Amino acid sequence: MDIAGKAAIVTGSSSVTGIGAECAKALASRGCNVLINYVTNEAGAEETAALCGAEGVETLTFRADVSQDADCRAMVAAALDKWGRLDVLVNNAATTRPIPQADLEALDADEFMRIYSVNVVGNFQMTRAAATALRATGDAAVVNISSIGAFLGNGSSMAYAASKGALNTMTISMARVLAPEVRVNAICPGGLLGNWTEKIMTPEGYQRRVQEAETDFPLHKAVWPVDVAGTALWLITEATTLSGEAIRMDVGQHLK
Amino acid sequence: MNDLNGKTAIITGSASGVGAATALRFAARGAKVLINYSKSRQEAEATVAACQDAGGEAMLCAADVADDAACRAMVQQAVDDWGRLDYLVNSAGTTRRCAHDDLEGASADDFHAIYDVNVVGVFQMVRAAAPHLSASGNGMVVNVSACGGFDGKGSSIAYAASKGALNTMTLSLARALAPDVRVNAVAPNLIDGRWVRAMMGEDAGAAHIAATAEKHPLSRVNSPDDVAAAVLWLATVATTMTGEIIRLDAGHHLT
Repeated sequence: MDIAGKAAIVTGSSSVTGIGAECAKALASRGCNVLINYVTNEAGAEETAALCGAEGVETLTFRADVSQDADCRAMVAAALDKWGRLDVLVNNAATTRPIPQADLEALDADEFMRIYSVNVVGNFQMTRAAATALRATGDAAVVNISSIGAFLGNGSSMAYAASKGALNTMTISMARVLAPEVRVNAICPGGLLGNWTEKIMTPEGYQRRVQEAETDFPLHKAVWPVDVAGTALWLITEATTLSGEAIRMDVGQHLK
Repeated sequence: MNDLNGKTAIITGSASGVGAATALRFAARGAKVLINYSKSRQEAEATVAACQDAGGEAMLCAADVADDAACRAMVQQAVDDWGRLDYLVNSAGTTRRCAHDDLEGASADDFHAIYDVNVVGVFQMVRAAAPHLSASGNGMVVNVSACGGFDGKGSSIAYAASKGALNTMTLSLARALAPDVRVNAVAPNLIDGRWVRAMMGEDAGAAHIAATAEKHPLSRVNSPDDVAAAVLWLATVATTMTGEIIRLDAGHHLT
């Protein structure tokens, strides 16, 4: 699919070096107009939009919390108002909080629901709000940013891993109901470094992860947001016979 | 786009179909390609010409990957000329058509003939290429497998079993060759190409493709180029993936 002159929404794209922003920049580099979504980081959203705009595309920054259905619908409406179409949705917005998995008492129902409302329900609400417009193009793509935690149950907390498991399953359900006009796939990074990982780890933990990447990961390196964006762009523009897939990107950790 | 200038690729079974489409994509981005065939000389020569027209350098090599000496000679031919090897795409494959419920129609000989090319042939090619792929510092193998490896469907039980073995071997090779060489597979289901028409006849093949497309959630089937696009993505973009088997089935697993 040639995305030049088309329109995309990337949720959670206000961290300039994060997965969402890298996806937005990758889309812009192919001439696709992009809506940059943020919840609190307006300055980061503006900066990301400027970087995308430098590629010669139109941008729109939009404050929205995907756990709020009205926000999701307003965001899609804003994109349609500006561009009259919507071809691509990258559901990247997500939340977590580090809670050691062995410390069961540290996790509670509220935390489960808080994470679920963004990572799964937010994703559902965004896709639902966008579905009609995506279908109308006849050839559209949704990419859900999931996690290796979906398969392994590891990561920042048990509630986070469970939410990504749910997201992978929902990717399959969504792919079924939105075919043939809309392809829906997920990417599951594992061994990710960058702003997101740094934010949810202690400085020492992050340093350990950096070292671990170079020695313990089978490919002796980590996954960076730009790696995820490269595959998101492939799923959107070239993987025209894929739908309902969860692409694992884990520098070979599942081989250990 | 000449971003693969100076890179080199061996694509087995590249006279036609997925192999040829993959070679063309590599060539169009500036890579040097080795076009391998076992029987289809004329088509292989046409692929060489097409790769050259696309701006790449291409050489021809007749070899049956079931023959280890031929595998080693093929790699040697490429390395002698280019001095390096970056990519190996194992596209050579074979089948013998046999209805799955006709158990008496399948012989041990069929199983062996298919296994020899689809699994042992891949092993022999990877073994021959491994030192050179390692030396390139960014080596990559893609095995062209099939959805039959997951669902047991396809042209024969023996064919599906061979692809199951190939998927498993992809994991073993990825583990053994990390971190220097990534090893992944693509697993398409039906491809609108020469194989299906040769096996079923032109009209029946075309009808089968149309009927299959209708059954797929995405209302289409793979073209050889769809599969080639996935191979190029694995080679050039998916640098943090190894030991993965990428299903390309137009959503058929969702039905």
